[in-house]
Amino acid sequence: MTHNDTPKDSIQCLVNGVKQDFHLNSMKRLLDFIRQDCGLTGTKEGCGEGECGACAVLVDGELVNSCLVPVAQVQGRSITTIEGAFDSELGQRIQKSFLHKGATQCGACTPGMVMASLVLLRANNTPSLDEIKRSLAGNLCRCTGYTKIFAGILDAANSAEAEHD
Amino acid sequence: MTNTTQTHMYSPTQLIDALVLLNEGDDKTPFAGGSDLMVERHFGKEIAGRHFINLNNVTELKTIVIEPTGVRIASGVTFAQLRASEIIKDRFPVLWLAAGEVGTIAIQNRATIGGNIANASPAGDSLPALLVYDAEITLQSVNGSRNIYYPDFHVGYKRSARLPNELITKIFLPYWHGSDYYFRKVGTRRAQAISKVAVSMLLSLDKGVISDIRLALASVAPFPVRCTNLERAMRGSSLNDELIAGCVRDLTEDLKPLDDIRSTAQYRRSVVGRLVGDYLTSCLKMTYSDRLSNGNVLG
Repeated sequence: MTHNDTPKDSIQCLVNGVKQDFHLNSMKRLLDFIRQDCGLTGTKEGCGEGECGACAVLVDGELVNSCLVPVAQVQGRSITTIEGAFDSELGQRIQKSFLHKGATQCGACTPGMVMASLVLLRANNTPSLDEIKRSLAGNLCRCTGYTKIFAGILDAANSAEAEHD
Repeated sequence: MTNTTQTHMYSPTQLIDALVLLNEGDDKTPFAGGSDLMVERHFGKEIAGRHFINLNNVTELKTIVIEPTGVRIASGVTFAQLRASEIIKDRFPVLWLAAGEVGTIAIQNRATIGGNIANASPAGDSLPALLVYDAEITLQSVNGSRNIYYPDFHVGYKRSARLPNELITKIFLPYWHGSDYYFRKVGTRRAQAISKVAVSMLLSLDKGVISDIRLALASVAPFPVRCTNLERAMRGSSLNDELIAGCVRDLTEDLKPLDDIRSTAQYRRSVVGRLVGDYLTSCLKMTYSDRLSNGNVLG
């Protein structure tokens, strides 16, 4: 069987606010669609089995592991990747805080960590350390030991407070 | 690398269309959140030419309906939706707690209660809760609809009463009118853990007498189980240390868990015994002190 036999569907969705229109196999992973078809390589494949969170993106504002989502199921949806995270003030604040606090070493986990932080801080802008740990429980890091990532999130939360005072 | 050639996902918007597709043959697998099936694909468990029926566009599979005698949850409801539901939190707290233990937040946003049932893992996080709440499962096909009492649903390891052309469509949970409950999932980490043991219990005490007790366990048998022997032995009896000790001993002797990559039979037996015994003992103490404050204790 050659690749010409692969059944293809029309997939239309928004990625970081930009309309996408492709002919793809319906079971192609959202992760591969983002990296290959959209050319957005910020989203990483850490495990391919939904265990590490490196591939996390937002679909209609909800955090999902893109390695587990077939493109057919994002038809008509709005996807936000790490590249799109910095379109928002909160995303920029998280980025600043992560840099300030040294929350990144190799960077592989960072996009997923930022996406998970975005969701947390949108819902709760004064999280406790325990709440941060719970919300980031789906994101693994092999480098940092998590301490500075959590400090980065707390800093992002606190810098919002500081701005509003 | 995931194999995507030759595979197609059908996306019906009506339940009947999904049922027609499913009836066409066993090369079409129902696919809801995909958090189990996509992992299978990743590990190459795929059969060439296997197709999928996307259930996420079928709106009738997305509802939580409050009825006079209970709540009817459609099979496509995600664990995140269950966590956000006030009625589930309030009236079915064991299910609410279990939903929060599934995978991670990112998994809960996708994984569905119907998928948890259909996948039929012995460790399925929500399954012991459905067992203790006496859930009723609705199965539908092109031939019609039938209901199965959930404790009768699983018949063997990953084998259930569901026929190949049937979809799990609804889960009905009758209201439970007691107040005491217990949920504990034992695993190696705070998230993404498959349980070594999981316990769900409901207990109703009336002046120290057990008017209702329900116990279900995960990861100790080929499928999640209701412990009806213990329930029969305890129902109608006064809760006391002797009863607890005797029933826990019988329970752990009856269990036939396995040694597997996650745990040993001995550990599972031991932990089940302790968790059940400790919970019942704590209820005993509370009951005693309630009686104490009412001045009803003699001696």
